[in-house]
Amino acid sequence: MTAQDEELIAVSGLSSGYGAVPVIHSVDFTVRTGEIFAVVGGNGAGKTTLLSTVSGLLRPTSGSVRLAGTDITGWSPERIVAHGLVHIPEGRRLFTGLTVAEHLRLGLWNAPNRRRVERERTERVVDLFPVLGERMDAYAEVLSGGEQQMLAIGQALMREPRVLLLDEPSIGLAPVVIQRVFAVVDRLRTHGLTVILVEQRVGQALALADRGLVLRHGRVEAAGSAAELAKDPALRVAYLGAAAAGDQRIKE
Amino acid sequence: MIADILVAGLVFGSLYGLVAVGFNILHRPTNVVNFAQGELIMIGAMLMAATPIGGLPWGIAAACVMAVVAIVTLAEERVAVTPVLRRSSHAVGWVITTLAFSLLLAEAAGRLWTDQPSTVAPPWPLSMRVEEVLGVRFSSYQVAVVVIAVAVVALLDVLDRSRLGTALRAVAADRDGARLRGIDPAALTRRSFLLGGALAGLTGVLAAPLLLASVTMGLGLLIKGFAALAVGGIGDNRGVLVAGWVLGVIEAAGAVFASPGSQSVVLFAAMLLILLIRPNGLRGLAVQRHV
Ligand SMILES: Nc1ncnc2c1ncn2[C@@H]1O[C@H](COP(=O)(O)OP(=O)(O)OP(=O)(O)O)[C@@H](O)[C@H]1O
Ligand SMILES: [Mg+2]
Repeated sequence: MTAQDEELIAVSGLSSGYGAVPVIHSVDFTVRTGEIFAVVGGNGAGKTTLLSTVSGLLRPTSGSVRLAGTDITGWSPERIVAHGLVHIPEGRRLFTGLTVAEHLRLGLWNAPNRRRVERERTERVVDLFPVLGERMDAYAEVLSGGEQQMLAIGQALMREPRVLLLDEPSIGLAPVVIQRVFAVVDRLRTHGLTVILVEQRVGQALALADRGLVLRHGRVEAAGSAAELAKDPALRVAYLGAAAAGDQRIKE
Repeated sequence: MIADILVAGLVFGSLYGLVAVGFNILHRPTNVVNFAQGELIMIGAMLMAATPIGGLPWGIAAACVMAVVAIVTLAEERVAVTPVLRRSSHAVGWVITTLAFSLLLAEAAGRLWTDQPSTVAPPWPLSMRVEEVLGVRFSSYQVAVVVIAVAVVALLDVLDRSRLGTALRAVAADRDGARLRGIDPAALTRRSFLLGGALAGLTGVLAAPLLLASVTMGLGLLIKGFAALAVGGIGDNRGVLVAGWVLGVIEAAGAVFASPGSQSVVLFAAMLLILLIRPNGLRGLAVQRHV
């Protein structure tokens, strides 16, 4: 494995925002192949903005993003997707009026080998999420929140991306369902996938992740191994509250 | 007489429906209603009537007209739609710019061609000669226009379920969400304008023998297409075709029962009445699920 392979994502000096309003300031981090990298922080810390800038939806005002050694700064989101980085947005943003099967098919949009692999990939996604197989012709908007999150992940997996950006996959889900979603993310690792996981459930996210960073007011407040971050006394007070189990949401 | 009204209503209504289907094709990826649609159709009809193209065998002529109008429509997308949407996808600057493009087309046509309406013959073996079958009087060309309108809507239904159609529906539902799935809305917009332009060309070709081709025919078709769009429900191709028929029949009845010349008044009064009773159009409930 070369050094470049190891650092699958390298973000440096990244700043961006909305129009003239800056939101994230000079963010640096790297993610290694096969890692789960957690990005945690309170409401409005800039987590979504950071992901959107990495995936090309927002143009950075400065800094750079490298994916597997290629500078992808300023690329369009569709080009970045074709390059193997898929961003599942906050709230999943499935398409009203499209069925489960149609979503899965769209997961291969413009993929060079789509005709050859569609069947096999669909079967693999259904193996991973049997509930989707039962509801192939259901419209996305009638699925439960958990099913919707499975569909969003399944759709992304159709392309067999190198990197998955997951923005608060647990949001709006019942605790049992959250456990299942996190279990799925954990399993993705064994498929060789690299994941950047944004969560407000700091305890659970850090328990799953290898490394991560804490974002506060658009800046990196702390970064390191997940175990270190979870033990960081300042963070425990600020984000985890008294309960070190840390399943509650951040109250800032 | 009732039969005559129905025949005329279905035939002209098919044209209005096709105008509205054209609106739908361009609206889907952009949320823009193209005010130049009427003039694009006029260009199609005039190319058929007043240029060397019209002298070619009908099928080849029609294909040339569709290609030319498709390219003009793509030019509209480049200069009058995409630059406006790039600034803000919620702004309504496109109202002005597509209207301006429409005026430009009308102006160009006025310079290029005389304002004498010209007749265009239907393609062999069709004709405008009226036959009588079981007391209903119609020509073979009239039947062909209705059949083609139905075929266009059926074809678009098939397209809708294809991979491309699915991507278009995704873009319409959530543009940024679609981009995150690797779909390029700009590329789909260009394809939609080419397709919608080709349909405008075809609509002009079909209208020419029925309406007389003239440089002033665009506005009437634009407005009646709008009426069909409003009554049928935006985005619903079957709905707007049926609405076109309903409005066409009302218009034809207006011409017979009210004084001739007042049929447009009757048509728009009917449209307002329908929209008062059903603000979302005739099939408003059927498409509600998608909203
Ligand atoms: N579309 C937007 N336009 C303008 N400002 C925005 C927009 N989206 C977010 N912001 C602002 O940017 C800042 C960071 O928001 P962001 O959504 O990135 O935070 P977040 O960490 O993802 O929060 P949450 O946990 O609530 O999802 C906030 O102050 C927010 O008000
Ligand atoms: Mg967020």
